Amino acid sequence: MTRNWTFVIAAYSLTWAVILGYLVRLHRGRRRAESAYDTAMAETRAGDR
Amino acid sequence: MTWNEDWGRISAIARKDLITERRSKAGFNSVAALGVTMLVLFGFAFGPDAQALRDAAAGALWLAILFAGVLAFNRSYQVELESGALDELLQYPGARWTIYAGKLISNLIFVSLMLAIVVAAGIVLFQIHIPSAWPMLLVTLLLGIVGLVTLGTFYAAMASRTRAREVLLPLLLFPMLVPVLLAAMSASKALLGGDLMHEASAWIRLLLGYDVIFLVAALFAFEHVIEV
Amino acid sequence: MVVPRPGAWRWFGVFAFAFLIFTQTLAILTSPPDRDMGDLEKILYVHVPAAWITFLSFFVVLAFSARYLWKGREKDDLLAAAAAEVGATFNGLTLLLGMIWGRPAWGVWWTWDARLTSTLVLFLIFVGYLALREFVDDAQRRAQWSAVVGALGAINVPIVYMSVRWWRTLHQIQSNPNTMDPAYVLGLRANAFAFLFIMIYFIHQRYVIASLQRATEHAAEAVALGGQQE
Repeated sequence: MTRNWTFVIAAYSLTWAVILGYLVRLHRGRRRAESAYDTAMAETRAGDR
Repeated sequence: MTWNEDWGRISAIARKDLITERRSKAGFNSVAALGVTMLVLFGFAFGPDAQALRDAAAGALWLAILFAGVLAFNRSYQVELESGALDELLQYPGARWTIYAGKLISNLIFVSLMLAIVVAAGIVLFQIHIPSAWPMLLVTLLLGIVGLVTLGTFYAAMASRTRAREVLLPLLLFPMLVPVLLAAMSASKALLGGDLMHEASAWIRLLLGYDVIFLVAALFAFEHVIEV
Repeated sequence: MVVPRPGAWRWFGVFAFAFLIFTQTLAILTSPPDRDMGDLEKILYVHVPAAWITFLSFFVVLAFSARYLWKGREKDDLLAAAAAEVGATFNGLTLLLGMIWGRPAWGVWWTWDARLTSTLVLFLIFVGYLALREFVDDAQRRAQWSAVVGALGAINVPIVYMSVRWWRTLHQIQSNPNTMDPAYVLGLRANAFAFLFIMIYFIHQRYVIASLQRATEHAAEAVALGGQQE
């Protein structure tokens, strides 16, 4: 029985590692994409003037 | 009337590709040589026991054809891309699917010739006894390469125009070809062993269904692939 | 191109994660140990929903790819790509969880049964799709090609499943809520919804990133053309 619990714990830890890992990746990617977008927009506005 | 025009375009493209290929024999010879070399290497992996070789023969043959075929598919667009002829080809009027059909036919002939050489070498190297149901085996080989060439020609139209064509074509193509390979290998293996379980005809029907589905899908989708 | 900005979606994300924690706790606490498998059945509450989400996201890829080929809107292409990436993530998770399940239940990490093998092939198709997007630089070409590759891949999945099943038929009958003890059904359904919410949140986040990147490229092009904006 205890051996089975090792596998159950492994399964749940893996699930959370993957989900949280992907979440962090998305948040980082979003922050990077937003700052790149803001920089690009600032340049376009500078070009307009 | 339009059918005649379409057929004219298809055969013109097929003939052009085959003439280019014949004039530079190097391409065909080296691809066929590669196929035979692969068979020899598979022989080292499974031999030298005669029975083990015969059991592995169907799988080894199809993998050799698959790996050698992949080289052929990229080649069929390579020449046109290098000289910029593909863009000119697209300038001509007419349906786009005829370009695909023409290349399909030329690739089919190319791979069939290669297949003949590889199979002949395989019969000798793997000590295959030709079964009495050899016409069925021939049908399996034909349907198998039709499936292989249908998707190979289609995916090469994309992969050959990207940065990483050598790796991208197999990466896209091999998972898609899993049913073809399973069916062709299983049918060939069953037929070589005398088809005691009568399973070969089910596999051949699967091959036929696969070929029809993807031939139709590729003919419809080719327009979206070649125009951009 | 309209750039989505955060708002209600942030709260949806918080809700999705809170709901997942709730359903998992519920399932672990309420489900009785299985007669044959003991506590191992608790793995099902993550493995089965992950598998469902994998197949669902491939349908999403197919739907957006088909709509892109039909209408040609960039939005559909970006959504298909987002669904493919999220789907590949859940697909990998499904495979690994299946191994963790298989080792104590069957004694092997891997077996060549139809569902396992076709899930693996599906993963390879996802990988090919994402690699194609990686290697094509022109945006329109990338969109057209990946839509076609996504659609053909989706057609192939049932054929792969059927062929592998013929090739090797030794798997157990597919479990579905009707043949299972009602004590498990509620937990499984609740967890499936939790995974669904997580998937929707992930796809939306990924889509926002992709559209921000596209908008940045458009802005850079506009600067290159001399600041001529619409």
